Amino acid sequence: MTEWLHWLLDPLQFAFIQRGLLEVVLMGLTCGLIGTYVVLRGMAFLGDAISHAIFPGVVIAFLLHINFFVGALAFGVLTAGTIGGLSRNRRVSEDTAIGVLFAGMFALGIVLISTIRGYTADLASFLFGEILGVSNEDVIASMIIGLLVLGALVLFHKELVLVAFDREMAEAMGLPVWLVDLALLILIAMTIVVSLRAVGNILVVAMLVTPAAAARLWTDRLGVMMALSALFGALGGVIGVFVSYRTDLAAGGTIVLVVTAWFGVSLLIAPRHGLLAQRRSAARTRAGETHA
Amino acid sequence: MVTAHYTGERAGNLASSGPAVRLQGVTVGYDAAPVLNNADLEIGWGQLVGVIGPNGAGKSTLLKTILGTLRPRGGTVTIGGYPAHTAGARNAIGYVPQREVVNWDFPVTVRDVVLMGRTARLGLLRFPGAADRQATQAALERVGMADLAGRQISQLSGGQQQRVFLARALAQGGNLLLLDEPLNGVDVTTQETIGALLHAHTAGGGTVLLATHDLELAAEWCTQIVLVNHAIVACGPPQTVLQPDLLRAAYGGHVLVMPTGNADTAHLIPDDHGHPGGRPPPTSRRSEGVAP
Repeated sequence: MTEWLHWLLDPLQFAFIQRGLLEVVLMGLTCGLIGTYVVLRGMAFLGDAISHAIFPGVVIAFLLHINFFVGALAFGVLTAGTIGGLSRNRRVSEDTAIGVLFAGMFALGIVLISTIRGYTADLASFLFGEILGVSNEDVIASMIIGLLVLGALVLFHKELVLVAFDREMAEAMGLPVWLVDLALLILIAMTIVVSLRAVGNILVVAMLVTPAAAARLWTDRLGVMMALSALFGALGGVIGVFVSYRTDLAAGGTIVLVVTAWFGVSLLIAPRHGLLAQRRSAARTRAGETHA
Repeated sequence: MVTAHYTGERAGNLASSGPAVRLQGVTVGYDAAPVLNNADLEIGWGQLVGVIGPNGAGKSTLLKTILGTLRPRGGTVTIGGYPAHTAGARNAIGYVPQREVVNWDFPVTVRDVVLMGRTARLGLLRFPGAADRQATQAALERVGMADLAGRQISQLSGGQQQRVFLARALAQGGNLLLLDEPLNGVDVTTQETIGALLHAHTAGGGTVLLATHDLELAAEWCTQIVLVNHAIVACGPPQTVLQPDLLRAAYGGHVLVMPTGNADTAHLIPDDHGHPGGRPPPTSRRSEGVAP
């Protein structure tokens, strides 16, 4: 018992672990909340694209020796705006616009970073995160961005929900639907920026999609889904950091594997929407039929 | 700015300053072939109006033009004297879209959906209050869905889903109700509930526009019929519009004219061309039993 407690509590005495844990909790909460919309609106590919397109912004910030949040945020908003604008043009399908943009931007990032001698170490930390290397400024920046996202989600809740549920009705009510879409894209971009230090560009889509997808299996209420999704994201982050510290495995990958495993468990055991529950109710229906 | 229309101002409910709907020289659609051409139409208050016509003739287009989600290329549209696209026009309207357009797996309850009807009235940055909850409850009771208010919407039958949509339109609080094929695939109970509500609405001075394929029902329910085929072919009381020659002109050769004992109106059924492909046929008793 005491051994187990030591295993759990000893790492907490290190400031870099405390910062890392705070950072993953912020990431988990923000990703979980915004991820609810990503899942309900089927925007997983879009989220992946924005995270890749942010990469050159991170590299440029690194080259210019400025805080990476500035570069990432600038490119995130730029990408969100470009995708939003392109998809209003009927000649280019949204799917195509996203595909062209994200590969092109990612390539730009790769080319830029290759100008640095011996760049592979930096590349890895950008692409896969470096949660135990976060600074105090990183945590503070994540906190500010996370609060902005949360504030926007609360203030524009009814508009975001209506556009996600029934676009036509939203248009009929005179809501500026494209503006709501653009705002959501920018919120997603901001959330991705919060997650970069923890899981990196490539894996961030998992934090946007997986906790929310698991949460959907446990509830039919939007508010509950958001709360559960945030909880799953934050908890997955914390567990991932502990496991990776103790086993010396890559932190970003471990965090994502934890939430992925939880999604798998949820898929199996969730009430009503889980596979087991559905098998049971199907069996009940069959039994009912034979009795009738 | 776009948001100017979405002000949430509480416009006066009884629009006495003009007819319910007035279209003057309205042309809607894309370049070469307009869906509606040079349409003139005037509908007063207290009318239950059936909008009929073959598939693709422009029934939905007409409704969406009045609703303000489609902008005409030429001509003017006013709702109760307010130009379409203004807050005054929008607050005068309640809308029931086709059931197929929303994501029924969305994790919201019946009550949540009806409360969405209040979105435009509330306006930006305002949360639903007691008055909105009362309007929601009243609307749920009128359509007989108060008992199921806590249900997730995917757990409803087609008829119940349609009644939720109608409740949402009532919660919008407008005097002009627009319904796009509300009777497709609904049960007899729902059909009777909807019929009673629409008649009560017009008795109270409101107007209803109802796009439908069911000519039999249009003849029975409506005080006016608008016959559409890329233009307004005819508009007037059922006995003058539901005439074999007019219908044959609109539907081509695809109408069976059935002689009946009822002297008021010819009883008519369009053949399969009159029903949307792939959708289940209406389960109403009226869809059968028309033959003498």
